[in-house]
Amino acid sequence: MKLKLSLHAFKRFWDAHAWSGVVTSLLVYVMFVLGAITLFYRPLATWEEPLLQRPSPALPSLQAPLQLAEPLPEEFYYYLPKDRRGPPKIGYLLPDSETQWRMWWLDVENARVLPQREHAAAFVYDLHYLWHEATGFWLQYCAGVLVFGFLLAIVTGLLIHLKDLGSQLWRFRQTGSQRVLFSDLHKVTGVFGLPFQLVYALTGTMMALAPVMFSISVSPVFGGDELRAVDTAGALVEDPPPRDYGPEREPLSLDQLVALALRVEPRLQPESFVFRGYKHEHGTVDVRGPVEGQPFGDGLIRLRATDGTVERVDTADRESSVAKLARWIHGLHTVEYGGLTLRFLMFVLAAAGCITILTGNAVWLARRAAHSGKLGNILLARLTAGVGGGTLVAVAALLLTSRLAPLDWEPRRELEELVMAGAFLGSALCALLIKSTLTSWRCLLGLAGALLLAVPIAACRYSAAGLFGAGPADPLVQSVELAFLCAAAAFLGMSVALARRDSAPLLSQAQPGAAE
Amino acid sequence: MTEHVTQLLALSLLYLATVASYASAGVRGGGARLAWFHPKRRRVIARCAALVATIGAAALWHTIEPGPAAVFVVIVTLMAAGTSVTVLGSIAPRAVWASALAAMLLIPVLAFTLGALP
Repeated sequence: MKLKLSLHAFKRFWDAHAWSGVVTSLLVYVMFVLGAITLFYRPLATWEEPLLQRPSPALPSLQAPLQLAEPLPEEFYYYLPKDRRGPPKIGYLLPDSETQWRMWWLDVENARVLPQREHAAAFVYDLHYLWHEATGFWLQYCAGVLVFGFLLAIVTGLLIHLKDLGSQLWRFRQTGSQRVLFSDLHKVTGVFGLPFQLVYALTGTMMALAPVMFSISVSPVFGGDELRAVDTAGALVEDPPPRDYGPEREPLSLDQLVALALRVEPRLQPESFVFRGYKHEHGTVDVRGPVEGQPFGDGLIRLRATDGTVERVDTADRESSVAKLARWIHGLHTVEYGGLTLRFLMFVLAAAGCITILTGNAVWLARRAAHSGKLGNILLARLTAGVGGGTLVAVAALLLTSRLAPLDWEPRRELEELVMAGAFLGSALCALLIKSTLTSWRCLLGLAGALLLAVPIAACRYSAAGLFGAGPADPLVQSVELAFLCAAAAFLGMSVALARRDSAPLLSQAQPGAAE
Repeated sequence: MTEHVTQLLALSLLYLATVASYASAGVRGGGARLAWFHPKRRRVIARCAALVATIGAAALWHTIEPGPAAVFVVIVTLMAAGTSVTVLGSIAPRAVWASALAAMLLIPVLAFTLGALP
């Protein structure tokens, strides 16, 4: 059966695909690159923080580390050590702030509280959905809208290629013009990665826009009753609106509360706790963690902190429809299944997604080769190179800065962010000024490779567990550094390969009419 | 240990399934080297073998991942392998066939190891 569209529909879908693709491409590319790195958030966090390269201390009780951090605010998060590495930690929003989230390590052995010193991995994680404490939520909502535009590009792309999907699935012609090469690469990576891109665009849009969708639905759906809205659909939002937790009252110890939670769901493996209304009569504690036999997403049991009354149970067989939806969305997007093997495969698909986006722009430019002198096309060609290579340079510069700045130096957080932003904007600006996009790509890839190459060497400053460290090796830290070296070699290799090619700009090489 | 061997076995099966599908597609670029697959019957055999390998891999992964997660893992692996094989099949076809041969040799060894493990 041939699924052929009418000429009118084909043209409309083609325009929608091309325009939505080109408008959203560069920012979505940045989100894809950072998302691909975020797949390895935990190994990166271990690599960057020497405290996580030590085994966890034996905790006398779950409650004991919290006493180090007293006085605590009404709402805070408490994380147990993961994979038996490092001390436990707490995190909360600074008083009178809605965006300034800070974390502290609870060093039980030395009875002290250490502020989180390094946050390169967390910064990349947040930037993946365009979140920063300075910009707050509005940029995250923009990211949601942007990804929705990308979703439109995916769906219309599928519709216009539907009739050729089978015949073009395996076709990649290396010989021929650059336009054919880019077109084939765009189709191969796009078609094979279609389910991946579709799921990520859909779940990403829902995760980014969930808080705003929740707040605008409170009035029409729940008659303005925020508490009822939270009880019904609260699983979709990370932070429920503030409520009155009553007068002060001492809660049960966390160990008692966990024992009560495990009586309700013995398969729950507690990993983190969310305290709301701490030391207040109606305060609650969420006991969260994976549930044995549950495909993905954490289970949650909410207890009243003062008497242990169970207020909510969100596990696979007892959760509400909204909680199930939230668990699936979060579980699929953050890859809470399949282990490290699947994360590597996801990384391949994310890299293929980046190629789909960049080659999409290249196809757009090649199809308009006759109008290559137009300012819009020149800007697009140069910005594609600037943002494409600049994102890699920015990430490499961030990682290198995180190893060069003193670990206990307070402004290191700001310095890292400024270096990353400067590297990104500088790269984009340079690419705008350089006439040949091929030269821009070559220089930026070479720079990213050179910076990454220096990272494992600079890492010796804080940790002896890496590839070039003199102390006892940590396989996880060494794997991360090996990955940096492989990435550096790949970038440098691509840069050298580009240098050997004709340095004529991409636009002039594209041959109109060569593609089908 | 058992989990890693199972994962490697499932990945090898899925890689072989992808290469068999690619080879039987008779695409331009790698087609000339795939004369063995040209007769229709052999193409059908290759596709059936790919299907059986995929089902086998899903069953294997189901022993280590609960519920739909096993299916998702298989889909993701096929997507990643499909992209890599199609691109590499044109750039470095020998690498694709050599790695397929290696996977073919590895599968009985892994299956034997898995059977011998407690």
